Amino acid sequence: MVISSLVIETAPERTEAVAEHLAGLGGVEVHGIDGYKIIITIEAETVDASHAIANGIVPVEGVIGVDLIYLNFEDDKTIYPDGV
Amino acid sequence: MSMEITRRNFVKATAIAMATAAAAGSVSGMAGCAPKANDPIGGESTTKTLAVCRFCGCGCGVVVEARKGKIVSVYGDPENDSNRGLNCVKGYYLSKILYGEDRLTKPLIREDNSKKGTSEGFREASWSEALDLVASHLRETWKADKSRLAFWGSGQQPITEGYATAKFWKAGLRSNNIDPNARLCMASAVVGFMNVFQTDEPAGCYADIDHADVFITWGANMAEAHPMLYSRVMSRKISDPKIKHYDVTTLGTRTAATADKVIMFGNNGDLAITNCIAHYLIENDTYDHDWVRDHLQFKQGTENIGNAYDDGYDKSDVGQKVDATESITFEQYAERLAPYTWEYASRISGVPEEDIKELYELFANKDLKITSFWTMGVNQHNRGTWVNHNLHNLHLLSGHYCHPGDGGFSLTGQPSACGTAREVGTFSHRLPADLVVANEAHRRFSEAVWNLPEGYLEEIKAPGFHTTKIFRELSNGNIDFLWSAHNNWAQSMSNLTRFLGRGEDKKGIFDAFIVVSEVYPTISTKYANVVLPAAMWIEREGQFGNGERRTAVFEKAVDPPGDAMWDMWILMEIAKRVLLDEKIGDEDAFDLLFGEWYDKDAAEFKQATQREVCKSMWEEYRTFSNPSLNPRAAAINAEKKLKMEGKQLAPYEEYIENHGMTWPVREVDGKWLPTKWRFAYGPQEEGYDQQGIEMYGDRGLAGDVSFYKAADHRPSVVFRPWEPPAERPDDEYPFVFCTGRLLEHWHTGSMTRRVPELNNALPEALLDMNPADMEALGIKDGEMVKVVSRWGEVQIKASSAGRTQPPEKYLFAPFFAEETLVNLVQQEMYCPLSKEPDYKKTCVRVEKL
Repeated sequence: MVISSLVIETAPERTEAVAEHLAGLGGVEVHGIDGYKIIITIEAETVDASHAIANGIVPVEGVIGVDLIYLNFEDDKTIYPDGV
Repeated sequence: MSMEITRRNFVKATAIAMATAAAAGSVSGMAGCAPKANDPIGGESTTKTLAVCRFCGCGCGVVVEARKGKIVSVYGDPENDSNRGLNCVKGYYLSKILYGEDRLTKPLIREDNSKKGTSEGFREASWSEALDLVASHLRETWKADKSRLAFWGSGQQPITEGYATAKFWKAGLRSNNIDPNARLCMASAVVGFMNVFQTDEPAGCYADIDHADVFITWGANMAEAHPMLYSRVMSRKISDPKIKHYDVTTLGTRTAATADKVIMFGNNGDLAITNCIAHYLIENDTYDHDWVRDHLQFKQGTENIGNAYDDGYDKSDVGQKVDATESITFEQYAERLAPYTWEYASRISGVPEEDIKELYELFANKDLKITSFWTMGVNQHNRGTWVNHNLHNLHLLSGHYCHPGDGGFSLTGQPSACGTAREVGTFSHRLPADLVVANEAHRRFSEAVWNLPEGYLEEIKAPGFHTTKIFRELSNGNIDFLWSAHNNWAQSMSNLTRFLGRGEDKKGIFDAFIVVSEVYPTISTKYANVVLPAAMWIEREGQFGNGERRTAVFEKAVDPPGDAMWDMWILMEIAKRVLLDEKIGDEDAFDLLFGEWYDKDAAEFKQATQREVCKSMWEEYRTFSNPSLNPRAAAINAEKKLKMEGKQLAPYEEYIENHGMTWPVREVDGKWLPTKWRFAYGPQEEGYDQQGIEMYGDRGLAGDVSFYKAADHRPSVVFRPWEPPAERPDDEYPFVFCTGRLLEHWHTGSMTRRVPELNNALPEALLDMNPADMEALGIKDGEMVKVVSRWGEVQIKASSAGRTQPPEKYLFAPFFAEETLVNLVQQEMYCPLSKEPDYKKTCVRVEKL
């Protein structure tokens, strides 16, 4: 599984609503809220799928920044068919 | 619990811990929870190396983890002060760009010249055959007529590779026909900085964002082109609702959408608006008297400079006078500004008077800290240098400069446009460290560092061909040998109709011998006679210098695929062949220039590792800014008052230990300390320019600021009037056409388009149109249209729902798509001072198909 973590920056009045929306997305887990920032992980089969989920967060109402923090892709079979 | 589950849990826990620390703004917390190399669970045989993002000019630090020679994870480097652990969504693809299916892994030689312009007609070759062929063509051209060869480099070329290339071209071949693609993106900013301050690059740093009360973006779509910096701007705004962002723009963008106030202008109105604000600062006595008294000198320059339409512009009467200035008094400067009333500036620009007044009120307020950001809308402009001048003028006149949060900041577009193109000086008129070929003392100093006989560089005192000139002469049949690296000129140049030989009589591209160093096939490789497969990003060691003067090292993490090789090796192998049996004085030319690092007979580097090669070469390069390392250079620096320490660089390892540092870097009690705010006096330990001012400057002036690099220590406020765009809309070509970049794709897409998901997110270049224009022309969303200019035509899909929202009679399209070659219609006019093309306002018509 490709695992990445992100900080989602939001307009302060929308933080709760955005967090709720994110929690409903497949592969996304919300791990905490720090002020107007939401801490999430994305788990998906590939980097591509992970990016698709992250990119889908960019236009969500109230989201003002999507910051990628950490990305591990050793299990992405499209990059390493035979593993690492 | 199986090892696999354990490993997964560990990875996930690491991911969560780092994101939690990042959200809290805890850099030390992030660093503490980062995976450790060789941790039994965290990473069996995991190596951890430092790197810098390969994409834009933000220069974000990243850490790369590899296992068994394969990259397994990437995370934002918490200890790199440019980004403090954050990356934008392009970070997902930093590593994946290495693994596109069609990586170039073998040298290719074109066998069938009739297929030039296509991907056919090549065969694979050995390195020795390819290198022999390239070197023989270069040597033959060099011996026959040096004006007929050229190298086109890049702001994506690492620093030491750019340094070695410039040294080969300038000292080895004694040719100035070398220029980078940075000419297309920030040359106007460079000429602005040099004219105003006599030193290139911004005075401030990214940390200005954390101190500013007001942000003004001028011709800059930061939200898409500099996402990490924009994220920092947004964080600053959220921290205090009083902080405002003004976006001065020509079209609706994601940046405009999040600004507090959008000021939409046209018709080169930026020149009029800035002069209008300066006019009322003086008229209303709201300028900073102390700054004018202590810091500034006033000038005016050549005006009515026309446009660089034809190939002979630079040598025309006006073309030769464009750089000329003369001193004027403050009162004369005020008189020159007098015509720029609210009414006049509003009429020229289309901006309501009230909005210009609102901008004026910001600069008139000494209590605010104002950070201006500008980029391609200012630089890619037929008067790009002039707009740069006018923005500096505003900040200088109002005393809003050099203090944290208060200053003018020109953003760069490429990861090492500053570090390589600007600091190494891979331009046709430059030598390293702000030196220029036309200055005798600068040539003597360079000869000293390069250990050349005195007078050896006399042959290069005249600048060579700038970028547009190179491609004009190529199309005219006057270039026999062109080598390009780290760029994709056949897509990014202006007026491709002419430069790709698709016009009526400009076919030189088919006759010239063209060498392209590349990592993937591009449209440029289709025009190549030889393609040299290069190592990419962290497949070798290199260094980038980002937009805030931060130099950072990226370490080699994995090996390049197939036969792809380090560009430095490719350069050495070509240089040794071209310089075979050549002498400089009594010495072998190659050995004198490169013998410290490369054994030409053994065909290998003398140092055991790339780290050692880079470190050793860096030591020579940094002598330019540390002249005390070379007695001959030191004597010239002292006698000619070159102030070379103004750009002082540290020893190589310091950049690794400190995760990058902003120059000038100063040694204080054995510790190397960066300078974050140049020209502002204060403790060096806190990032102020204490050492620079104590060495060269003056204390006790307004703001405790000293512009020690400027002539007479006074930056030049040069009056630059409004002059119109090169083309103005008319009945035949009623639209203004602007091109640019969007978030998903980096430049010409040669890397990002190989990533299916990025390509799915933004699969094609759309022509963004105003819905009213579409309705008037009967064009529906998604319909193909033809865009026609005086220069060429292109077919593209029209949209009213694209990424930008153009006003009426205005069009935008990105330039990433090879199949939609938007630059076929771009004018080839450039700013006459900086020679940077104007990509923002070619006049076109739209035809329904």
